[in-house]
Amino acid sequence: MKKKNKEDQDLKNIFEKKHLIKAPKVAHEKSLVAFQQGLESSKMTKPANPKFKRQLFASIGSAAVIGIMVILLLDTDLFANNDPSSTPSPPAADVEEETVEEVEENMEQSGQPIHLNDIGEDEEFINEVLERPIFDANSYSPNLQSFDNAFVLDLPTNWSMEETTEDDHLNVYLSGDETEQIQIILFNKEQTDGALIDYAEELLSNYNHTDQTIVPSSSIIEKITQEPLSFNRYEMLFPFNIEEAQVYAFKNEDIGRYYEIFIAEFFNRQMIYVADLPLDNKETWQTSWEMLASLAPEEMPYLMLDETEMHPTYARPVEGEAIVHLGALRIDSIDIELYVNEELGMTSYIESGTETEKIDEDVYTEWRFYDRRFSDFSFYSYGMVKEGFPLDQGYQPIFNTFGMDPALYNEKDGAIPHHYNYGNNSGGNNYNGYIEFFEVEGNWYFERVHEDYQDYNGGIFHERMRLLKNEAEHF
Amino acid sequence: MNDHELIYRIQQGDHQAVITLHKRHADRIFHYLYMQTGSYHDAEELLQDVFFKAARNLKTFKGKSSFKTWVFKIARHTVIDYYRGSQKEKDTQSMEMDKFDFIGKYVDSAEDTALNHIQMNEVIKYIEELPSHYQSVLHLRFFEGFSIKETSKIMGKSVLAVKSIQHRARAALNQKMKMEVYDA
Repeated sequence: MKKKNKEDQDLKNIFEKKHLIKAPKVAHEKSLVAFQQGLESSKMTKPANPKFKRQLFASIGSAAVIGIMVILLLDTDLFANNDPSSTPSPPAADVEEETVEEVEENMEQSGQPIHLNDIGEDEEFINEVLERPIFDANSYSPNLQSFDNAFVLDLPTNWSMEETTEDDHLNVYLSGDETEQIQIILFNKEQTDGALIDYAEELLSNYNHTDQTIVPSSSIIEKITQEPLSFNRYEMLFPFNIEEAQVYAFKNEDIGRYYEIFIAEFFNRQMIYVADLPLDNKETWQTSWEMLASLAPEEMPYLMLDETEMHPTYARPVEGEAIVHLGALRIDSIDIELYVNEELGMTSYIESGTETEKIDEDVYTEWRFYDRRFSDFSFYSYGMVKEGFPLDQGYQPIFNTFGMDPALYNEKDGAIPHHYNYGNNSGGNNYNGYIEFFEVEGNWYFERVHEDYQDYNGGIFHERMRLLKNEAEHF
Repeated sequence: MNDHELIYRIQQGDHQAVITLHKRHADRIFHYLYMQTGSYHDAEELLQDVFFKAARNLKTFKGKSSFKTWVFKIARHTVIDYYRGSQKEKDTQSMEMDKFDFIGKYVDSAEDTALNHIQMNEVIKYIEELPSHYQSVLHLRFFEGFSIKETSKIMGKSVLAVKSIQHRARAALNQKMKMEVYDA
């Protein structure tokens, strides 16, 4: 058994010895009533504040609780009946609903602090949030702007951007010509969940509002699936897992503003995204989503390494994730692992699941990397030349050395030194590639990408080659 | 009957399904809340909140994850609110150790002999001394049996972040146990 599996099993054994701490009977009863009340209250239009529910249930004795349960169990029409006025609820519950309404109204009007986790769903408002006009991509004309020296976004023409750095986070302020204001807060250090929400709530306390709702990620996914964004780069639609993001919307009808907030993990960094937009100009709402979806690393592959497990000899993380291009427009995330080649005297990163093959010839040694999930015939490789390699004799001897027909050589204007393209599209064979030689500390190496179009793979081997070369460290 | 079928029946107005679904999960959520708060009383109160919120949002449950994962995520948010709202600090000292009632002896491999010198309740004591997010991951992974991916959903963190926390938690636990052996 691997050490990690053994340690996992040990911990499972420890936890299996723990006895389940059962809820006392009264807690069972009260929470069942809360469950029942929640189901009933979800049929009402206004979300209730569970804090008041807790106060209510704390004041109900267990005898009353049992009484309520009996009523619930006996009343077979309770669920089917959508009219709350005809529901035989206990008097205390009626009083409580009224209190919730009053308190909520007061809170909203006075702009008291927001408690995000208490915000429920307001279906009517959610529909309003999702109802956005078809976006006119032609009028968007964005320019690529970088921030934090690491990321980019599509900034529409006539918008401005400002960036400030705080102790533990970066602020990016975006301003549009239709009074749109967007703030992106990107944290440098991991915040606890509570601290992150505290931060968001403090930020939002500046925005008085008259309506609020949580926006289920599933409804955003459904909306964008039906009406895709202009640049649909990510499988998860946004540069974070939308299913794990928290999304809220607010509006202030008195001053005509709409606010939306996304709390998400953006490439291993916690992010709060707040958009402050004109309530009556819904085209600007879609711009907010377009910009959010345009966020991306400035350079790819962008690595997020797991530094908890380091290689004992080479002191590099043994695994992680890489954000890579997928085709011309899409962006993907792949699992990567440390690649150690003692013969080459090199470490780097390759995608997990990559197969390697060593080819040892008289004047060079080549390590080929295959990924059968994408192609049986394509590969990329990294190699080292030996003494006698015809490096300075032009492409013909080099092609001969690699067993390739020199007629396949594609000469290009402004060629990179020691870079040789080749290609073939005749006789049923359709492939192309390149070989490039380079020097590291007096030794000559080469990189190569060979793409076979029998099973076209969208250029992923170029991207994997870039990962291997960018991250290569020779020792 | 699985959870998804019960939820379907609840939406059709089946009273018994409400009771069954609640009964199936109440104790495990209570245990989690108790572990997070260290207070029997507060865990009782929070259990109501969790079920109230779950019921309020049940119609948004699409069945993409398991109901257990979904309701634990609600429980986690409820605990976050609890700390924020009450300005409470987690009182790990107040944990009622007798409730755990651990039995058996931790049997370990020869390569990790340190554990053989330590009683089970001491291992648990060390776990309780870990930062709360370490404890959460260990509990969700090894007590509740959630996968890394499910744990990441509940905690609202990436898979990589959960793996990282789990690794750190395990390293911190090993360190504590080694120090104990050394001190002894």
